[in-house]
Amino acid sequence: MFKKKRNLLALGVLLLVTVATITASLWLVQSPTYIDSHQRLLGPSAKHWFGTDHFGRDIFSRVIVAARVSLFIGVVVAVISTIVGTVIGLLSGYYKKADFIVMRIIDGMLAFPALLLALALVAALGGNITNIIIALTFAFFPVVSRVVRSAVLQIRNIQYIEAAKTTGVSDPVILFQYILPNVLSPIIVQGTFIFAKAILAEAALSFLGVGVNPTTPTWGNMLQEAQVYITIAPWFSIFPGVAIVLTVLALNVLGDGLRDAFDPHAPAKRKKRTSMVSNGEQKIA
Amino acid sequence: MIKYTLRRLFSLIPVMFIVSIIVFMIVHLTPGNPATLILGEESTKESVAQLEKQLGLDKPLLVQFFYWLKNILMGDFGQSVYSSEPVLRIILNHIGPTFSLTIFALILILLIAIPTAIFVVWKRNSLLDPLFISVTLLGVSIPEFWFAILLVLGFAVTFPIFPVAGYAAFGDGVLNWIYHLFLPAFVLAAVEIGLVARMLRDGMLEAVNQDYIRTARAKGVKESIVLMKHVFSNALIPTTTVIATIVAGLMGGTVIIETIFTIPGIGQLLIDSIYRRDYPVIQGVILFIAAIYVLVNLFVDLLYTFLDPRIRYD
Amino acid sequence: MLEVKNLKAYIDVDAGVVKAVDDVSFSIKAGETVGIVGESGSGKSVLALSLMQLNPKPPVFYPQGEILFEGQNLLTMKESELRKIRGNKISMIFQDPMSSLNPIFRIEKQLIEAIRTHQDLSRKDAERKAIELLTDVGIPDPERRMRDYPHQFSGGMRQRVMIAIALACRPKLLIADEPTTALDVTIQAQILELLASIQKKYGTAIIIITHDLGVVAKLADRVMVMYSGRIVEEGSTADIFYRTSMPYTWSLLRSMPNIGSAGNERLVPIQGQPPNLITPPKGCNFNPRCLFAGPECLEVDPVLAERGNGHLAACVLSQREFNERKRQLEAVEREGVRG
Repeated sequence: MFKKKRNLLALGVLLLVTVATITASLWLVQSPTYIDSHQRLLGPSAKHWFGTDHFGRDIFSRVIVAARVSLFIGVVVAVISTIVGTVIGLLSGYYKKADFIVMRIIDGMLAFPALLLALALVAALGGNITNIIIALTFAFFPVVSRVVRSAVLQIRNIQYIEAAKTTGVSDPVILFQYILPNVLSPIIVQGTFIFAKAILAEAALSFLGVGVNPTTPTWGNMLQEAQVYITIAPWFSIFPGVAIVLTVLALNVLGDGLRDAFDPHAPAKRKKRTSMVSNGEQKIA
Repeated sequence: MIKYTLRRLFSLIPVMFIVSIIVFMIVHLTPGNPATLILGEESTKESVAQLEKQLGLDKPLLVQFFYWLKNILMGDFGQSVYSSEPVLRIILNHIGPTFSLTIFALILILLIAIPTAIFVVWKRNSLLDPLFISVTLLGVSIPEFWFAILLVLGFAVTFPIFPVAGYAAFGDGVLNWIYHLFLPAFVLAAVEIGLVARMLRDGMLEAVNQDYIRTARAKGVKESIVLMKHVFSNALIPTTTVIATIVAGLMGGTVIIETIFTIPGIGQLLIDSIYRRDYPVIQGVILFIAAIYVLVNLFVDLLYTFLDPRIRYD
Repeated sequence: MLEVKNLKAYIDVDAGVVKAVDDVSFSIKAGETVGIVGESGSGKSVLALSLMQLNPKPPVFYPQGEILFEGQNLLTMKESELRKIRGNKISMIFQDPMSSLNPIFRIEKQLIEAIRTHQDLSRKDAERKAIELLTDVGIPDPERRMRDYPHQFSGGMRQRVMIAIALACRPKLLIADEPTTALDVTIQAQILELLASIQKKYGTAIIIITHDLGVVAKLADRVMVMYSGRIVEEGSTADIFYRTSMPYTWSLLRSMPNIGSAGNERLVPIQGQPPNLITPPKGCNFNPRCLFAGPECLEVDPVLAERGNGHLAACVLSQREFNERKRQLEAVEREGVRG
């Protein structure tokens, strides 16, 4: 029940951040772009909850608005990489001939630490939102296809699928109507974690100065700008960072909760039905 | 065992081939002429043509690739367009700090994660366990660079104990080395500690209910020894595979950490080269890191089979 | 030597409390071999682990009872005291020899651990003792085999190693929980012979827990039949097999091959499932599956009562009524087969 509360809280945080950033223009009192050179680097106050930045802009408003780009990149990368990864994983797990070549390519892609692959791709393509999405998708989809493939391999030979094959059901139908629903849970879990990782990666790329155009407010860009002022205006670095941590933590908690919920062998559940009771007792318990 | 090792070694060939294709493509993904990109818009036609020739850009892509691959196999990673030094020498000059940083971080991870996991499993029926899970989730949710910034803030202003920038080589004295590397290594380790401790805890909880653990208890062995000897060593085997994941995380992390703490390693070299559009160096560094990562993976795989007697003796 | 009084061992699960062992009393004399028989789910394994205090707490807890071993109550004993008994005075072997040995340690290490936990021996002496033990349980070439890992042994050999570990400190009581269930039939007989010879050689008391009445018939002096967490019949092996006093034992006998009075009889499986131990049926726990059940059985929860000469049974029927009904049932069934 401790877990349930935690998951609900995480969901609440995500909803709050999403709704706040979408409706920002309706309720933000301070403009995120208004420059006031007399109000530079002010600490948190009633007027500027999170203080002001080096241009005298309101940090609270900027954190809220920045969520839009950060979340957008996160969602799009999560969705595209799970779709791409799932399709490749399904095909690779189902067609033995394709499997060998596809998996060697995936192995090759997995030979790069994800952040480095993204970094190299962004360096080559140039930093804008589309390219970052492309780069991060390339960094994250190989893991999904691995997970999906092994799930497909596990159920491919189960009887009802064999039966469907012998009765002449077509391959696409088997793949998407028989197999896909059965491997959906690990995909959803992976997608949630990729959402979290993509937000972190975007922030890191922007922080390194190879990410989203520096004039666009994103959490990573704000932290990049704030770095110089760390000793004289720590709030400038702290609040965007807290925004990242809260959002990513919520996603990770949710992913963890989903994994436990989907996985009948999750350690947390196993705790009560311990194996000391012989098989027979377990049935009753 | 020998057969397996050979098979694993052979499987490196296709992987490294794919890796080299990807690395090669990095330059050619860039919109526009790479030579112009490197030299800048206002460069003369002659200098562009000369650089194209130097990089072999005037030949068909496939020819370029095999030419490039052949050179790399012979140890020639090309020349930096920024300093004209051979790429391989530049990389080797920067490897020391990165290696130190990664090893230091790895040691910190193991020193903290292992006792933590054992303790959490020992107190597995208390509130410590959900607390531990929450902390590890928080750990993987904090951006490394932000955590580094906060530490810099803390140690530069509030508690100036450790330096927040610079690097001292191992040769300059071990204490000096530790002194300079502690903060960056700690930041680098912080994210991974949670992951490793969590993996170990999951593995130990899996092992703790096994029949052979009950046998150990039935012998009258102390619970602490049961956990440390029987449970831990069984959980350790699957956890070795995580080392590969850690190393990947560490290598991605060094790029950021070296930049923040101004450590002259290959991470910083990579970022600098990206700013300079020094593509041969970028390619060299990425290829180098991928190769190391692939080798670490191989090592871990072999270690796994070596540690598990059920596989070793088959 | 061992006396269990009104023991209850319950398991706390999400759905409620499982009464795995529900008010069980019995005693074991030194050197005796006692069989505890029941279907899976009857609580016999939880009972066995209770005697070693090896049930994980939580979820298992003991709301009531005493387990007196040489006069000391194991239920109230400190963990450090219990450790001195486990593996030393009371030992246990388990059902699955495949998973009961630590897969990553050599046999030697696991044996020596058992020896040196309780005996102050040098490594050399412990090693010598380990070889002796392995010879005792019939492992050929023990010096060499000691250096092997569990997966290099067959199932029967592994169970022999388990027995060697259990015997490491010459225990007074050996608890064998389904020691032969996971083994091939031919190997089963060898392991049972080994247990019998140990019994003879060292005078160790043995509690053998099994669902297999054949095992009990070969080994036990006395038998306790367990059903849904309780002992429902107890007596000498002859009492149980030839002077059966209650329907469950009778059903159990009929469901097993080669036992009972007539060898050519058909096997009759017991209908239905063991009861849910979270919310047991009203009245007698066996009434939903009992061919003898009358209206009384839905009301009365019978307790163990003397049937003469230490033979106890828990059933509303008297011995005479039971025998009468049994004869009728068997006659009807014979008619059915013919017709």
